[in-house]
Amino acid sequence: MYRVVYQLPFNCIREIYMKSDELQAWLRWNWLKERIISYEKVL
Amino acid sequence: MLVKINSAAILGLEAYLVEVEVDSQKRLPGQSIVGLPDASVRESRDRVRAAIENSGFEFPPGYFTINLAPADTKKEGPLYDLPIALGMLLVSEQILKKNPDGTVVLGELSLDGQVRPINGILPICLSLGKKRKKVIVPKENADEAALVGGINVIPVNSLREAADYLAGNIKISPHKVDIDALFQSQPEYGIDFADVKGQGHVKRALEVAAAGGHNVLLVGPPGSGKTMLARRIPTIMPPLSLGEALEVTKLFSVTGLLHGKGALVTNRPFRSPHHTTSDIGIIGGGRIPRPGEVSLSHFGVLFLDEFPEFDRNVLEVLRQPLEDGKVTISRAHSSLTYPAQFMLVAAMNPCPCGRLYDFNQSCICTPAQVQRYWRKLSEPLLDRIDIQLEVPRLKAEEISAMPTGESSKEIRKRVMQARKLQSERFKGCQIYSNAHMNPKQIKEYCVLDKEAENILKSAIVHLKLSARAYDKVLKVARTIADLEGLKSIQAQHVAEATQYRSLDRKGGEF
Repeated sequence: MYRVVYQLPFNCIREIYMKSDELQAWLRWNWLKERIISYEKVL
Repeated sequence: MLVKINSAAILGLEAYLVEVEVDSQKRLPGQSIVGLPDASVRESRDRVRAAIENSGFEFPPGYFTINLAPADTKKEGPLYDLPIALGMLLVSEQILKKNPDGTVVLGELSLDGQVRPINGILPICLSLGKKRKKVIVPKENADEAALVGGINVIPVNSLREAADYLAGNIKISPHKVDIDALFQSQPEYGIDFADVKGQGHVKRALEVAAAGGHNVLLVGPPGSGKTMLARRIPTIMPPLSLGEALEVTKLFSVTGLLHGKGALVTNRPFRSPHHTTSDIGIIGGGRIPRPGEVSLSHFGVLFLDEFPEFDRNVLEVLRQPLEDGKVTISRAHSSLTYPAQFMLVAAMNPCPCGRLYDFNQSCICTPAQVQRYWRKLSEPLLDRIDIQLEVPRLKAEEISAMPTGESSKEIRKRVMQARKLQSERFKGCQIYSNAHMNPKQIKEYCVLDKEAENILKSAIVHLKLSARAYDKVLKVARTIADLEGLKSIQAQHVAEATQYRSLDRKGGEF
């Protein structure tokens, strides 16, 4: 499981938790990747 | 003695024949106009008297009854001046009519006898063209009237010229215009997307919006370029077809916005009413119904700046035309329908002071003020806006840099390609763009592959997209795939489309 810090519009930051394969899918596409500020493995 | 002259009246965008009957009686001098004339028609008495005398004729003695038939519909506007004056000259036998009957006469008179232009010539000629083959019009309206093929347009400058023509003393050749040449000579917009500094993601979103006919809400602080961007949207939309141009011209003609703008509107309309505009101003109507801003934006862009500053009822009346693409105005005696297929572009600040979410400046609004500000936008209205965008303040280096990016011409090429795919897809349907797909059509045309479906599900869960966002994302993703010329919607299209739902994911911050 990964903790992802995600940048929403209007300077809102959200912490979301996602599985490895989900994160990999998000990182594959620029539109989602560029909004991910950081991520770290938590479990 | 009685004389009849044909003229016309407009009801909505249609016209009908009006018979101007002038009867003279040997009584004390006077005039009465009957047939439900409004004030401007009644005032024609004084204009007609002065115009007749100043044109070298004699104002005939006796009592004149002028009837505008059919007598049960209201007549308005000064277009009956010329037929009434000609009728009085004929009835007093100052001119003898040699030209054939059935000629339709339209025109306002000035006191010196000159013929002034009138509103609504194009819809009149389009409606009457099949029944009447000759129309006498003010010279300034001649190009507009001649857009309708198959009728002889006789332009006149003055009452004297019109009288001489009717009497057969002079010949005036029918006015002709080269519609194709007129249509080809489209004026440039004079603005370009390449003028805009930064805001690459907003430009991209507006390209998607123009390609799919999606409504857009731009949210950003003052000075971030929202208005500048919105004004450039028509420059990337496909050029109007001749049929569309004629329809837009009809609307401009009946509203009197055509004077000085040429005979044919060839550019897509961009209307930007002030936020104090009333609901009638936006939707149309009034004592004598007129098209509103939604109809004047037909086939173009309706830009509502300071969106929440509009009256709540003004915003709510937008819902029906956004859904139906037309506006029906009902009155006790009749019901009129005006077309209103427009792209809504709304712009607003994130809060009344505009500094909410700005790192550099602090917002001075209270949370209650911010909530009140956002509450003016109802859920059903936001539901009709497919693309919601954040337009951030430009960084210092972006402001000082030279504008970069693609020109409107290059973007327009892609938009036209996407529109072509949509017109093939929706052939035989009532809709023309992805934005207007109904749930059944979404199911049919927005099929996702496995990967795209997973991305969408994951985005809905993690970004807290609302249920209504689901269909919106699918429609926008369809347009993005069309821009790439692809038949299937792929994961990258869905990933991009999820970025255009800023307000769905706010999670209650406002």
